[in-house]
Amino acid sequence: MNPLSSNWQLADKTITSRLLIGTALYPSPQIMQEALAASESQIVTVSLRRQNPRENSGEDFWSLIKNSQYHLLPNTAGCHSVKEAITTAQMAREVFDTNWIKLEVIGDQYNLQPDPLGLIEASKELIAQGFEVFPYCTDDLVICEKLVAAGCRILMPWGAPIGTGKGLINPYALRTLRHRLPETTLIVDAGIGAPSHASFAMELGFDGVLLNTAVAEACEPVKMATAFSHAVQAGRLGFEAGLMQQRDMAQPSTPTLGTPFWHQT
Amino acid sequence: MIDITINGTAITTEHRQLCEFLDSYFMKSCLQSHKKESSPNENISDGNSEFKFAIAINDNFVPRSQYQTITLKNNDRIELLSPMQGG
Repeated sequence: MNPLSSNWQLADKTITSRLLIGTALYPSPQIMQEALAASESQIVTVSLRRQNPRENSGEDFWSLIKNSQYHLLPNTAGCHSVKEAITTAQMAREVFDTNWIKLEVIGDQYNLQPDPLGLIEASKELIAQGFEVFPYCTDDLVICEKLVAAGCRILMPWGAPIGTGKGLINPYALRTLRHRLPETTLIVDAGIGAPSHASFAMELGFDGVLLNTAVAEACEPVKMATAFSHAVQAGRLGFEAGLMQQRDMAQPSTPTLGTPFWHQT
Repeated sequence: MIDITINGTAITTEHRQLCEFLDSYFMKSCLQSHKKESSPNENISDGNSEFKFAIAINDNFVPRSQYQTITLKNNDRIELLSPMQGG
């Protein structure tokens, strides 16, 4: 791990990396493993699916992940109702032996936009049942405030809809969230397409970035995972260092005193 | 015999006890795949491989601790979910 990176607290875990990464869509399990390693991430997302025990796919995946050093963040991907999400979370807690849940309640099938009201209802119930809820939400300030009021210590607003790779389509909203929720752990989840998008999110002061497709569907996923690792670290260091104020007018960086061939205009 | 569905597939079974049904369900896979031995209170394992799973019946989670006491009814819907890649 880069010595410039410092520890931070994500729920009950003290970790170093601020990049959370998904395990889906890789060309092969081998490339997935190499990409996860290259990302230097310590948190990986996983899911539950119907599987026939006669087939090996899930078992193979589990054998790769179960003895790894990663903290697992199960999701409720594909759930369209509060009931489905809660039941899936309960099943995930038993299978993965963690109370962490990336809560997804999809409200619209076209852009996979989270159902904000469903998220709040499900969050309340799951928190009451002892879960650490990581809600995948939109960047709506009021919804995010209500999720915090429901007991969420971590919010994961989208940068853009899942899998679009469009980056941060509403920086104003994300900047506002950071400003208005200074005590909440904020992680941009979804929509990240390029390392520069991740850097931007971190420069805004977000605590982390969660992505999957941008790495898994890169021409070279392992190299892209390395790129994102550096990008997240660079963005975080930039935030900690403090960005300069933007100006409308140019201002020379080279001292004007003693400028050669100077002449009065 | 009762008619149930598991992961959306309709089947008929003589096993009304959930743990017996699971024994039967996994033993079937055993014959065709990994020679796993069924053990209702554990994830199915033969020592080298492990089929990790959780169950919901009629949309309600069933903790592993209840597998021995649940009796299946006609038209029950079982969801049997296992680890998979996710984003």
